Order: sequence, then C-alpha cells, then structure tokens
Amino acid sequence: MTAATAARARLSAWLPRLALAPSFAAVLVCVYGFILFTLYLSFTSSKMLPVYEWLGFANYVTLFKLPAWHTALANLAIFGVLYIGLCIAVGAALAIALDQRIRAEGVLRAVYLYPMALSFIVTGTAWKWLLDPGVGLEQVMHVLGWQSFAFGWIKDRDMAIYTVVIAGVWQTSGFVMALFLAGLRGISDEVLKAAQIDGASGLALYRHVVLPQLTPTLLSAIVILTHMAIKSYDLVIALTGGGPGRATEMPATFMYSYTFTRNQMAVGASSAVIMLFTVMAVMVPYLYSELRERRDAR
Amino acid sequence: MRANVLGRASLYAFLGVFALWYLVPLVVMLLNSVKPLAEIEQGNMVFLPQMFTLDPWRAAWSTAQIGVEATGLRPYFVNSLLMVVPAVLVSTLLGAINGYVLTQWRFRGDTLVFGLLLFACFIPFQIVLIPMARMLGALGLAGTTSGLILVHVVYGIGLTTLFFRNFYTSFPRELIRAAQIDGAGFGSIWLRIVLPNSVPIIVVCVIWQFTSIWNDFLFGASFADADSQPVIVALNNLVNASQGVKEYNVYFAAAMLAGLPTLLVYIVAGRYFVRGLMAGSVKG
Amino acid sequence: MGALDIRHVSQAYGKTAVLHDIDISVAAGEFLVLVGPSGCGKSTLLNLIAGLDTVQSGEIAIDGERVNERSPADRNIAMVFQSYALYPNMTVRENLGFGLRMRGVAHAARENAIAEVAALLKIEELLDRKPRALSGGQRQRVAMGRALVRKPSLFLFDEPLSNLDARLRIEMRTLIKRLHQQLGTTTVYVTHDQIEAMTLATRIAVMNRGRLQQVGTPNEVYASPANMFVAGFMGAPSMNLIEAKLVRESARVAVRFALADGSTATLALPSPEVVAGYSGDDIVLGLRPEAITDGASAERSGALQFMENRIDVVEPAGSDTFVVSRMGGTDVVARLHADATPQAGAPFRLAIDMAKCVLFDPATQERIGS
Repeated sequence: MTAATAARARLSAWLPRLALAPSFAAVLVCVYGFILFTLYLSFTSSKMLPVYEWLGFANYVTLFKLPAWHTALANLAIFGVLYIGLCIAVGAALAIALDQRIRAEGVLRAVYLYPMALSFIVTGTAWKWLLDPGVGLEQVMHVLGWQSFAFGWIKDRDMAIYTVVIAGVWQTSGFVMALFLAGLRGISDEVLKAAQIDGASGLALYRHVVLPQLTPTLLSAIVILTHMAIKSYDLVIALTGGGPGRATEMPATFMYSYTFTRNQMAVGASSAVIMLFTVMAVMVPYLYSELRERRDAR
Repeated sequence: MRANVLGRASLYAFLGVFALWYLVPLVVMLLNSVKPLAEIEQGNMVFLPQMFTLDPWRAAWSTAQIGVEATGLRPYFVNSLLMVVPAVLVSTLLGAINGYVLTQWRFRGDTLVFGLLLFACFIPFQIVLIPMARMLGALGLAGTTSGLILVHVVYGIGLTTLFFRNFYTSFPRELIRAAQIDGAGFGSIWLRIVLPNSVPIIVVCVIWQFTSIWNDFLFGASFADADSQPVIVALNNLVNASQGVKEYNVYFAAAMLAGLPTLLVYIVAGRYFVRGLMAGSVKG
Repeated sequence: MGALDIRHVSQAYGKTAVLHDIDISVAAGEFLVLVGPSGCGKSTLLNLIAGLDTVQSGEIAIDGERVNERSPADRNIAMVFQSYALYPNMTVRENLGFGLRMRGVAHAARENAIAEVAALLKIEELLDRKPRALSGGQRQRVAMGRALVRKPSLFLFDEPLSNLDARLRIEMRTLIKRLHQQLGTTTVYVTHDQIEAMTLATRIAVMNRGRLQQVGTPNEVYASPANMFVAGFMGAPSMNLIEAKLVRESARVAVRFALADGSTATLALPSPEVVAGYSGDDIVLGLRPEAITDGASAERSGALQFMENRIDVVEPAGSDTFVVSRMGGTDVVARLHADATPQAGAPFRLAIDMAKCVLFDPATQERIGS
C-alpha cells in the first residue's frame, strides 16, 4: 500500500467521526457546557450580569426560603399529579374506545391530536377568554338565563392552577391517546383470539390480557408527561401569565422572571438547576433502559 | 343484541363529547374572529356572528399595535418564516448525517455519543438560557434571526438525530455493502443511496421540526429583539397587552393567523406528524 | 369425543367470495386436515369453526348441536395458533390455567390439570418461566398444553408448525400424531404443507379458491385425485400431467403423446372401461414419477409398457435418481432406481406402470372415470 493510499484509507476511517463532530461539539458545548455554566452561576452572587464571586450553596438556601418558590413547587406537584393522571385516564379511555372498530376513527383521531400541532400561545388565547368570567363560560351561562352560574377559577388565587390543568390535559391527552392506541394495536391478534377461546371477554379480556401488556406504554407516557409538566412554560404564560399575582407560578416561570425581570440571575440559575435534576431523575433511568434494550436487541 | 346497540351508542356518544371538547377552543376562536367587538362584549362568545366582518383579520395582519409601530402580525410572520426554514433544513440535514454515521459506521463509544445526543432532547431549556444569551452576545448574534436559527439548530440536533438513527437501524445493510463493493465511499453512499431512500423519515422530521420551531415561545422570547421576534412571541405581546381596550376579535384573528401554518401542515400531513410523535416515545 | 358437521357454509367479505358451499362431516376421533395453497380459505373455515367469525350462510354443528350463535368460549373447543399466541405477561403455569380460570375451575383442580398436561408434554421445568424465556419448540408445547388442559371435544390447529425449523417440525409432527393416538380427540388441522397433511391425517380435505376439491383418505387423495389441481398439489415431486390423445382401436384403447424428438409414444390403457363415458379425444394423462421408472429394474407387472425417450436432466438424489424428459409438451419427472445409468441428452428406456395412471378431462380438469 502506498503512502497516499494509506493516508486516504486513514482519512476515510475518520470521515464518519469527522461528520459527526460538529453536531457533537455543538451539543457538548451548548448543552453540557452550558449546564455546567449555569450550575456554576448558581454558586455565585450574580444579579443582573454574571459575577464570579463564590457563594457556595447560599443561593439554594435563599431559593428554598422564597415563598414564590414554594408556590411554584406546590403548583408543580398539584399540576403534575393531576395533569399526568388525567392525561393518562383520558388518553387511555379514548384509545380503548377508538379501538372498538369505530367508523369515523381517522377523523376522531385527527380531532383529538390537533392541539399538539398548535402553539399553546395560540390556543391559550382562546382558553384564557373561554374561562374568563367576564366574557367566557360564566357570562354565556348568564346570558342563557342561568344567573347563578359561577366559573371564575381563572381569576381565583386558589383555583387558577386547576385551569392550567384543564388546558394542559386538553393539549396533551391526544398524544397519550395516540401512544395507547399504538400499544393496543401492537398486541398480537392471535393472543386476543386465544383469550376469547379461553373464555375471557369484555372486561376480563382487558383486565387479564390487554392492560398488562400495556405496561411499557404506560411507562413511556408517564415519563414523557412528567418531563413535559416540569418544562411547562408557554401553557402558563398564555393562560394566566403566572397570576393572579403569583398564584400559578411554576418553576419555569419562576426561573424566567427571577433571571430576566427581577435581576436575580444566581437564584434563577439555581432554580433552573433544580428543574434539571428533577427531569434527570425521571429521564436518566428511562433512557438508560431504552438504550440497553436496543443494544441487547441488536 | 339490544345491549350491543346501547353499548355502541354510548361509545359513540362518549367519543363525540370529547371531540366537542377538543374542538370548542378552535371554533370559538374562528367564530369570534369574524364578529365586531361589541358582540363579544355582550356575552355572545359561543354564538354565531350576527354581523360577519373580516376587519379583525385585516387588523391582525397589518394594523394591530404590537411593537412600536402598528404593523400587525405581518413582519413577525416574515420573521418566523426566515427563522424556521433554514433551521428546519439545517437541523434535518445534520440529523440525517448523524443518524447515518451512528448506525452504519459503528465505532467505539458510539452508544455513548448517541446517549449524550439523546439526553440533550430532554433537558429543560431554562438551564441554557443564560449562557446562550451570553454566547449570542459574544458572537454578535444577540437579538437576530440568525441567532435564533443557531439556537433552534443546536437544540434540534438531538431529536433529528433520534429520528434518523431509529429509521436507519432497519436500513438494509446489504445496499450499503453493495455500494462499497462498487467503490462508493462514505459521502457518496450517503448522498446517492441512503438519502434518496430516506424520504419517509425526512418528511416526518421536517414536519415535526417545522411545527416545533414555529410554535416555540421560550427561545423567541429570550433571544429575539423587537425586530426579529417570531410571530408566536408577537402574538403573546398582542394578546397580553395590559393597557387599552381588549380587542378580543383581533386577538383571535391574530391567533388563527399565527397558528395557520402548523395547522395546515397537520391537516395535510397528519399521518407523518403522528409518526414523528411516536418515533421518540414508544419503546422498541 | 366429538363430531363436527359443516353444512353448506359460504362466506364472503365485501364482494369477494371466500368460501363456496363447504360441506364436510368429521366423525368422532378423526384427524381432518384442511390443506391448500394460501388464500384457499382454510384458515377462514377454521375461524368459523372456532367461532372467531360469524357464519354468513350455512350451519356448523359440534356434537350434533348447532353452534353458529355460540361464542368461542361456549363451543368446548381449543385452538393452537401459528404464532403460539401465549400470553406474554403470564408464566407458563398461568398460561396453561387461564382457560380453566375463566371457567371458574377451583384452584386445586386447576393445579392437577396443569400438572397432568405438563407431565404429558414434558414441560414441568418450564412452568414458572415467561414465554419470552422459551425457545420456539418449548412455546409450541406450551401452546398445545394450553389446548389440552381443558379437555375439549374438538382441537383446532392453525398451521402450528410453520414457524419451526425443519428438524423441530418433524419432532412436533410426531408428538401431535402420538397425542392424537393417545387421546383420540377429534381434530381439525390446517396446513399448506401437503407432506404434513399426508402424514398426520385420517382424512384430507383439499381446498382451492374457497372450494372443496376433494375429501378422502391420504391414499385416496394421492392415488385417485379428483381433479388436476389435487393431482398437482399433493405429492412431491407432483404428479406429471401429460397432454395426450385417446386412440380408440378395436382391441384396445390407448393414449398417444409426442416425445422430445417429434415421434410419438402409444400406451395401452389396462382398464379401458374408465373412458367409456368420455366422448372426446383430448385427454390429460396423469402419472406419478414413481410410475415411470427404468426398464432394467422395474417391477414385473402386466401393466408395464416400455418406451424410449431422450433424457434432458439427470438428478441423482441418493436413494433414487430423478430424470426429466419431455412428453406431450411438458417436462416429465421419472423416478429411476439409483443404479440405473441415464445420460443427459441420450435416449433411455423407461418402464411405465399404466395401472397407476389417472386420466383427466382437459376441459373440466376433472378425473375421468369413477
């Protein structure tokens, strides 16, 4: 082999890695590098601009003493549990219903899923006014004659978070439905026939044969919904802007306001770090098992 | 037999009620975007317009006050287009190359590389806002459309790579081996053999990226200035304006205008949209 | 012990007719095999027997009782599927016991039945495993165990061996046959493999395009096929079908066909009364490869006749040698003994056992004669 051929061979062996390199470098810097940077910032005394004075865990202490952060975490818990629970309940119910050889299945599926195609700022505009006591549902009921009807949740400090749940479930349950429908359709036809012959039908069929086989789908749904709940930002901004007051503050809105509006960059950074760790706690085990399964399956 | 009919009827009723629930916001927006403001204020939000007018749409497009000047959504719509098209093309291209490399040119540590790229899809983007703002400033891209394009490309690579990588794991290896025997190298194989046979996943990726980038709010609000704001950010500024008369009809028309592109894509190519949804989420 | 009656069953999906007037009676203890190419309707028929699909026209009766309206669970049947269809979320033990559990059988009785079947099929060590931890052959045994454990009156098998490799397939075939001899349960078995059909069946029902072609014992179907389809489908290599002409002479009736070099061969029919009712001249002569052999070592029988033909291809196969030559415009396979010495391209003396021949009407494709 001549020197030129050898050099060419070596180059072509490295070509794949070279092709991958820009993306990998970009991700390395802009994702992992930036995470480290924000992590570092959370240990400094940055206010409006990054300052590199080391404060240790002081910002985290400050963070967890802030009532606004408590509200944000409480809201995340309430929202998270309800959002995930209702999305799965609604999504699974719709999927099972659609699986019963429904005539307009294609149309219905399209209707249930379209919210995912729209930005929440777009649909939040409608929801915000639909739920508004002045021009929305309450007002409509009054006009129709039902004077005592009241639905002012969106303006109520205690109830506003539940309107975010309603809007969130509305947007994402179609996606969960699609997941469960795919899971249902992945169950072998012959297994269902065997169960029929064995005497399981209707409820017993679902209880013993169908639902147990949907556990992986359920897991996927929970993981993805949890991750979406933690990231919820557009949803809250469009619907309530975090209000009334700070009643619907969530970690995502907290981070943004503390970093960019209130000039408390280090505290904002620490809230972002907490968000990251919460997401990691859910995603890392899930991704690890996904990757290992794919590797074993090869 | 009778129980069966009753069962089917309640099934359809159940599905129908939910269909209504999903459609109500869209219908409300449409109906109210063609009414004069007075009708809405009188509490007629769910009723058909007594007087039909397209003025709110005209206002939303060209005369609504969003920024300093009353320009309507049009300039921001253009901003979105200028941002989305390059971002989608570049992120798809990079995803295609990465997916190709990770499946057909295995090397030591490639699973780790894939894992790192994959995890990048799932981070809460709040964690990168501060350093990204500083980097864009340092590069002179702060507040520009190019800056936004860069941001969307970088944070889209993880997902586009996932799409293509999953697609290429079942790509027939024999095709590539035949090409190698025929003398084609790394680049030619990708360009002439792999890419032309990747049309389904390219469509899925483009549709998903288009929807995702067009609908983005966080990056637009964080990194764009008044001139380069995408339409979704402009929409939020419009509808959440705290002073002045609330022109609901204009808001709804504006929302419909902002949402029309992704909605149209969904209606036309919904099948691919669903595939994109599933590609990242279902096990195995 | 049960019996199965399929009376005038027809089925169509949309505009496509899938089954045409199927009529079969299966006696108690029989092993009926439904065999035919894919798309012939055999699996559809099996689904109708099982109750997994509703009969549109006709009647199905099990043990003398009409079951058209009954759900699969109420027909006292069990089915073994091509993909085994084991419940992936349950252990082998739970898989075996599921049908009994759905019928409210008590725990103790269930355990006894499971133990009995596990011993019969030698799957005792697998009872606590899940299906994904089993090999293909093990899964098939569990699938059969699930069918056996309920002691039904009718077993249905839907191509159960198609997913197994050749060696396992033969092993399982023997197991199925042995079980049938032991238990004597009436069985309907669907397959596209005619060797499986021949080895397992007490009776074979050959189907094509939704119609029954022939129902008979393996021997009947093999030696006296009712039409050209059955003749070509059963047996490997399949029966040779040679275009010929009937020659009616005063002393005898013969068939004449063209040979490779343009000359003709004329072979007398040992039983001319077979064509008594047939008025045409055109005829198709059916001869199985083993009915055409080498002159040197042929069995001595009065019906043996001889001819010479040019051999095109020689295929030594160990115990036999197959040769291909052209007769009546088609490639005809002959089975010679291994020590014969045919040469490709050279003429060879062949012995034809006309007692084994079958004649077909080329227009109707049906066999001529009784």
